[in-house]
Amino acid sequence: MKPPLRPRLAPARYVTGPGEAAGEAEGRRKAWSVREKRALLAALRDQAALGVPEFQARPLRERLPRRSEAEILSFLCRLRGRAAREAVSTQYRHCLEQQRCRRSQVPAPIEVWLELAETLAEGLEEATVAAFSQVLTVAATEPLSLLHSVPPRPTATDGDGETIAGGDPVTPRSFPRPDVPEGFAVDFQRVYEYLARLCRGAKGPALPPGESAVVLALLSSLPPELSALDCAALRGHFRGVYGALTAPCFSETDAPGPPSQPGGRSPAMLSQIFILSSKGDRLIHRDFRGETHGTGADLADVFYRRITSLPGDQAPVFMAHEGRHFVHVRHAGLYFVAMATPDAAPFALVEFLNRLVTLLRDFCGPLSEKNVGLNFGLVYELLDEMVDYGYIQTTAPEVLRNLVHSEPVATKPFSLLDLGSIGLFGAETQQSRVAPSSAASRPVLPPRGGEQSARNEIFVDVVERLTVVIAANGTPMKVDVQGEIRLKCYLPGSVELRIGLTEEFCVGKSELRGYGTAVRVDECAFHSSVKLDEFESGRVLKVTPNQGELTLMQYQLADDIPAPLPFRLFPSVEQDPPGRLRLYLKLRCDLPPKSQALNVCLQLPVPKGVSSLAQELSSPEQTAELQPSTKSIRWTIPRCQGGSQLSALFKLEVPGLTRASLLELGPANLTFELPTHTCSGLHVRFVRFPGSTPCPPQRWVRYLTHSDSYVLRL
Amino acid sequence: MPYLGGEDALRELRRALANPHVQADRLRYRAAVLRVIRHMAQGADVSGLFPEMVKASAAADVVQKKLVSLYVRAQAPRQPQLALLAVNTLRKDCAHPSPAVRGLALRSLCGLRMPGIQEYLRQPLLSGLRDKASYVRRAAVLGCAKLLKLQGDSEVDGALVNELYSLLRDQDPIVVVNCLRALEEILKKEGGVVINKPIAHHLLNRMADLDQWGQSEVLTFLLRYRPRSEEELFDILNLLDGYLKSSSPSVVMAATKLFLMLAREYPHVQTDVLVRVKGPLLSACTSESRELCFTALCHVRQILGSLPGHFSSHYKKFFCSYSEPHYIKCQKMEVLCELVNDENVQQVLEELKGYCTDVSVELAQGAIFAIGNIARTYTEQCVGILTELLGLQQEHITSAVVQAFRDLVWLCPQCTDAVCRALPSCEDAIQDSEGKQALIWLLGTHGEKVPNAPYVLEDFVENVKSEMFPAVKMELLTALVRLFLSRPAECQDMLGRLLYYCIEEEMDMAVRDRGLFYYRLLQSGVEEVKRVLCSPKSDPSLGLLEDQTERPVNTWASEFNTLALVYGRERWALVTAYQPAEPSYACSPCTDSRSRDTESLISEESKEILKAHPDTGNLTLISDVYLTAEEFEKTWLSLEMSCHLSLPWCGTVQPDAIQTALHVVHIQTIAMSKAGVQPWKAYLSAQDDTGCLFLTELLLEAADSEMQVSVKQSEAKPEALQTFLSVLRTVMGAVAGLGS
Repeated sequence: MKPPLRPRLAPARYVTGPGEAAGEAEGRRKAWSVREKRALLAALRDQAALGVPEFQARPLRERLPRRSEAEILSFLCRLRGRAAREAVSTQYRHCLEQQRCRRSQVPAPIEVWLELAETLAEGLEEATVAAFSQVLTVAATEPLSLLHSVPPRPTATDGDGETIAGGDPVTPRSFPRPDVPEGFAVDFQRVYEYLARLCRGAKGPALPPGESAVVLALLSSLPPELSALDCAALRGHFRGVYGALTAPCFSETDAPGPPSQPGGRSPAMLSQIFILSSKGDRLIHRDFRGETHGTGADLADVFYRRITSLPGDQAPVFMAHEGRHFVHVRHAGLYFVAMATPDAAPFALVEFLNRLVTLLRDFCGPLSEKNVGLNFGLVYELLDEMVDYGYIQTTAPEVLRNLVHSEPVATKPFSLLDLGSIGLFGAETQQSRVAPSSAASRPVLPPRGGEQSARNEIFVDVVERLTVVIAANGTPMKVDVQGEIRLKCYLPGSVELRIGLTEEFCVGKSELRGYGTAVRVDECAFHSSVKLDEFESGRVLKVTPNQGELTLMQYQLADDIPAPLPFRLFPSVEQDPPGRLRLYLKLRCDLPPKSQALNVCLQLPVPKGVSSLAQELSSPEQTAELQPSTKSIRWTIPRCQGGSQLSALFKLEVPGLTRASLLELGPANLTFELPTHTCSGLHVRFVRFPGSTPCPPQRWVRYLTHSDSYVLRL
Repeated sequence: MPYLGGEDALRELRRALANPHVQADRLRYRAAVLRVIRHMAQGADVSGLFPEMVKASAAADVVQKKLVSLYVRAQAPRQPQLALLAVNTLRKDCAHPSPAVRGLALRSLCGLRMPGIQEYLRQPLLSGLRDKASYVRRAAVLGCAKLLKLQGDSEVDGALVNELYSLLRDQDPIVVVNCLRALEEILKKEGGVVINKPIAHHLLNRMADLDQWGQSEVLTFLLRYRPRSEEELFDILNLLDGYLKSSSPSVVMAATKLFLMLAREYPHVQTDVLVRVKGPLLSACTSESRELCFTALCHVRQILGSLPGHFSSHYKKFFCSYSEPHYIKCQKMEVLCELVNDENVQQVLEELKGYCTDVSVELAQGAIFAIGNIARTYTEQCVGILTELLGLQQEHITSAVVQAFRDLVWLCPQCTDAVCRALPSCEDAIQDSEGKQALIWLLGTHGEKVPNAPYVLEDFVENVKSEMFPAVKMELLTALVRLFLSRPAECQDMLGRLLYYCIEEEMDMAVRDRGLFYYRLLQSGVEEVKRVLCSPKSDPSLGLLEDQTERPVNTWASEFNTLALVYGRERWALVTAYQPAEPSYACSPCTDSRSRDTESLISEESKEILKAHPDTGNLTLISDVYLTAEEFEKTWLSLEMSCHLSLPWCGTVQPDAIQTALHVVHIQTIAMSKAGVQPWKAYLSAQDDTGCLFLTELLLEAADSEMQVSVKQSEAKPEALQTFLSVLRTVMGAVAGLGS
C-alpha cells in the first residue's frame, strides 16, 4: 500500500523534443497520468529484471491498456532524452567543480586570517609588515629570547619548569593557554620562522598543530595589543574600517531612539494647517515652517488620498506620514487638518482644531465650502495670528478680534425681518418676539459702519444632547443627558451679565434643594471666566462676555431624569407563513402637549434578505422607505405634537425567512429635535445687566434638546 | 474667473495693481491684492507680480500688509534677489509706531526663508526682544528660533540664549511660553531647554496666567524637572492639583501625565490621579467631537489595562450610538470587553449582541469576537448568545462564531459540550478559510462528542479538490487523523481517500508533506499515532494567565497623552521605523543620518575621520563621463599606484564580453588588446559622483594565469576604492565564468 515518492516531472506542455515528432499529436491529446506513469515504471523495472537489453513495447502495452505502442515509445524516447540531458548537466557541473577545486585549494585558516588582515590594513600594509618582520626576524634569530618564550609546562619536569618560569617575567601571560597534554611542546622557533617568511612574501613551511594554535592565539590577541603600538594612522584607519563595517546600510534605516530621550525629541508643534472640502479641494493651506517633507508631494493630496482609501482597521483621526502626523477633525463636511510632530499631545491637537472650527464659525458665519472660500483672506489672517512658526499663540476671540482686521463676507445678507425661514428655534411657537434661527449663526465680527441696533443682542442657548437606550419592555436602560449653556454675544462693549438658573438646581446625587421638584445634574463644569460667587446662594452665573460664542457651563445627567422620555415605541411583529413579515409600529410622544418634536426620523434595521416593502402610515406628511444600503426602514415624521400617537404598518417580503432572522430586526434608532424643551428641566430664570444701560440689549433665551442616539430595542 | 489663470490673468492683475486709481482706493487696492493671493492659493504661478506686491505692502492698510507678507513669505525663496526689496520695506515697518505693524513686520521678516537674510535680521530682532509691546516680543522670541534655523549648523549664539532665558521672566505669559519653545529649538542639540529648580518654580507660579495651550505646553516642559525631595514633589503636586479639573481636556491630560510621571514611586498617588481624571475623560468620551472622543477612548483603554474595573460603573457611557463612525464603535467594543464585571455583564452582553447583526461585516464580527473574549470569564451566558447567533445562518456571523468557539474551547474546556451541541448544521454557512479551519479543528479535536462529525468532514473530503486554501486542507488532514483515532470505523475509508488525494494529486508542497507525514505515522501503528497526536485538548491555565496581565501604570505613563498611545504600541513602532532626517530648507547641511549611529559607537577622536569620508560604502559611478586616451595617459602617469591585486583567471580573454560587462557598471574601456594577444592588456576608467577618478590597468601575461589589476585613484578614498575593487572583481568574476 505504500505509495512511492512521486517523481516531479515538468508538465508535458513544456517538453518539445525532436524525438517525439511521430507520436506528438497523440501524446498531446492524452497527457500521461501519474498512475499510468507509475505502471510504466513498474513494467520497465520488470523488464530490466528479466535482462532484456532493449525495450519491448508490447509487454509494456499489456500493462497500459489505454496507450498505443507508438505513444509508449515516444514517451520512452522523451524520458531517455531527459535522462541524457540531466546526466550531461550533472557531469558538466561536476567538472566545473573539479576545475575550481584544482584552481584554488581551500585556503588554510592562517591564510584566511592573513587575507583579512591584509584587507584591513591595506594602504599601510608595508609599514606594518616591515615592523612585524623586524621584530620577528630578531625573535627568530636570537636563541636567548627563544628560550624565554617556552611556556612553563605544569606536567614537565619540575626543575626545568621552575628555572624557565622564574627567569622570564615577560612571558605573554595574557595568551589563553589551552590545556596542554603531557609531552606537548611548542617549538617557537618554527613559529617565528613561519611568520618571518610570510612577512617576506614567501610561503612558510607547514606548521604542526601546536604551533598553529600559537599563531592563531597570537592573531586573536592582536587587537588588545594594538593600543601599545604607536601608529596613529593605523589606528585611524582601523577605526575607519570599523565605521564602514558597522555603518547601517540604507534599507535598514537607523533605529529611532525612544521618544522620551531628551536629545532626540523635537518640540511639539504644528507644521502645516489646511482645510479641505469634502471633495478634496484645498480651500486653505498654510505652511508655518516651510519644511518640505520628504518627497515634497502635495500634502493635501496625500492626506485626501489616504483618508478616502483607508483600510478598515485603522482609525483615521491620526495618520502617520513620513515622520509627521496628520490630525484632522471633520466639521460641516470640511476637513480641518493639521500636520504635527510626533511629540505633540493628541488632546491638545484635537482640541485646537475644534477651537479653530469654533473660531472660524464665529468670524465667518456658518461654515461651508463656499463661505470659507469667500472669506479666505480673513481665514489666513486668523491663522496667522493664532499660530506663529507652528506654535499656538492665542485663540481667545477677544484678543483675535483686535488683531484681525479683515471683514467677513456673508454668504447671505442677514435681516431680522427675514422670518420666512422657519428653523429650529422660535418661529413655530407663534410668539411675537422671536429671533430667526439664523440670527445666532451669523458672524460676530461687527460689520463696520453697518446698522447699530441689529447687533445689540445676546443669545443664551440651553442645548441638551440625549443618549438613550430603551429595552424591549420599555424600561430605560441608559439615559444620558449632556447639556451646555452657550452664550452668543453680539454686544459691542463688555458689560457684566447675570444669568439666573432654576433655583432648585442641584449638583450631585446628595444635594437637595426645593421641595422635590429639584433639577438635578450629576456633574457640572464652568468656563474659567464665569464668576460663581452667587452660584451657591442664588444659582446665579456672573460673566462679562466678549463678542463671540462662549460655553458657560457644561453638565451631565445620567439615568435619572425628571420628565418621562420623549418617545416610546410599541412594536408588534407578526410572521405570515410564506416569508412575509407584518410590522406594526406605534410611536407615542410623551412630551407635554404644548411642545412638539421636529424632524423625527426612525431607522429600523430589518432582515438582510428583505426584498420589498409595503406601508400604511397614519398621516400623509410622513414618509417611509426601504434603504437598500443599510437594509433598514426609514420612517420620517416632520413634526409630532406632544401627547400624540403615530402608527405605521409595514409589510415586508423576506424570502427564506426563518425564526432566527427576527434577531436582525431592530434595534430602532430615533433622531429628533425638541425645541423649547430641556430634558433635565433646567431653565434660565433671567438674564440681566445690573448696570442700567440706556437701551437694554435684546436678550434671547432658547432651549433645544436633540437626540444624539435614541435607541429603542424591539 | 480663470482659476489657474495663465498669462492673461497675470497681466490683468498686474494692470490692476499698477493702476493709480486702484491704488488710491483702499478697498479696491486690497481686493486686487486679495485676488493675487487667491491665485497663489489655487496653485497658480504669480511670482511675476513680485515688484507690484512689494509696492503694495508700503500702503498704510494693515490688512493689505498682512496679505502681502503672506505673498512675500511664499515667494521669497524662489526670488531672493527681488525679496531684498521687501526686506527694506519690512525693516522700515519694524520701526513703525503701531505695535501691530511692528510685530507683523518682524514676523514676516523672520519668515522669509532665503539664504543671506540673517544679516538683515539681527538688528530688528534684538530691538524686538526689548520692545515695550508684548505682541512684538512674542514675534521676536520666535524669530530667534527662525533665525537659528536659517543659519543651519553654525554656532549657537550664547548671548542670544542668555537673553531668551532672561525673557522667561517676562510679564507676558505668551512671551514666556514662546521663550521655552524657542530655546527648545535652539538648544536642540544640547538636549533642549534646561528646566532647573528656579525656572521650574517660576513656571509653576506663572501657570495661572497662561491660557490653556500655554498651560498644557508648560506642563509638558515640566516633565523634565526632577524634584529634589519628596517634600518638593508633593508641593508641586498640590500646586498643580487644580489643573486636573480644568475645563480644557488638553490641560487635564497634560497635568495627568505630569502627575503620573512625578509620582512614579507612589502607586497610590497614581491611582488617585486616575480616579480623579475619570470625570474629564468620560466627558471627553461622550463629547460631541468624534475625534476627541476617539482620543479619549484610546486613553481609557490604556488605563483599563492597568486598573481593570476602573470604569466598570460607567459602562453605559461606552455603548455605541447609531450614528457613530466605525472606528469609534470598534474602540468602544474593546473598552466594553475590558470593563466587564459581575454587575454589568448582562447589560454589556445584551448591548454587544445588538451589534452582532450590524450591517457592517467588520463590526458584526468584531462584536462576536468581543463576546468570545468575555466568554473566557462568563462562559455560559456568552456561549448561549453565540449559539443563538448561529441560527441566523449568515455567512460572516457563523464563521466568526465558530472561530470564537475554537479559541474559547481551548481556554475554557468546561464549555466543550455546549459548543459541540451547537456545531452541527453550521458547515453549510461557512465559506471563508478562517471559519472553515476553525470548524474542522473543532470537529477533529472534539469529534467524539459531535454525532455527525465524520459526515461533516466527509463533505469536506469530497470537495477537497475544489478547496482553495491549503491551510484548510492541512487542518482537514489533522482533524481527520485525530477523529480516526476516536471513531475508526466511520473514518477509515475517507481518511484513505484523503491521504491518497493529498499524496498523489495535491500540488501544494506543505499539504503533500503533511499527508505523507500522517501516512508514515499511521504505518508505525495506532499506539504510536495516539502517542503523537493525543495532545491535550485545552489549556485552561492559559486563560487564567491571560487575565492577569495587568500592566503597572509606569509602563505606559510616559506615553500618556502622546501619539504613541493613540496608535498603539505595535503600530507606533511601525510608524516610527521610518524617521526621516530633520527637514531643512536653507543651505544648512544637516548631519548625515546614517552616521548618527556609528558616532555613538566610536569615541570622540575618531569622529573626524568618519566625517572625512562621508560617502562610506556609497560609491556611485557616473555613466556619461568619457576620457580620451591622451587624458587617460596623462592622468595615469601623474598618479601614484593605489592598489594592486590579482584576480583568478583561466582560459583566453574575450574582449567584447569584458567591455560589455564593464559598461554595465559604468566603467569605460579606454583601450584593449585584441583577443589572443599575449600579454593581454586593457585600460579602464571610471568616475564616481564626487569626481574621483579610478584608472585601472588589466594585465594577463599568459593564458591560465592570474589577471593582474592595478588601480590608481585621483583622490585618496579608501572606502570608495574598496567598493570599486569589489565591483571590478564581481564583473571580472562573471566574465571569467562565461569564458570557460
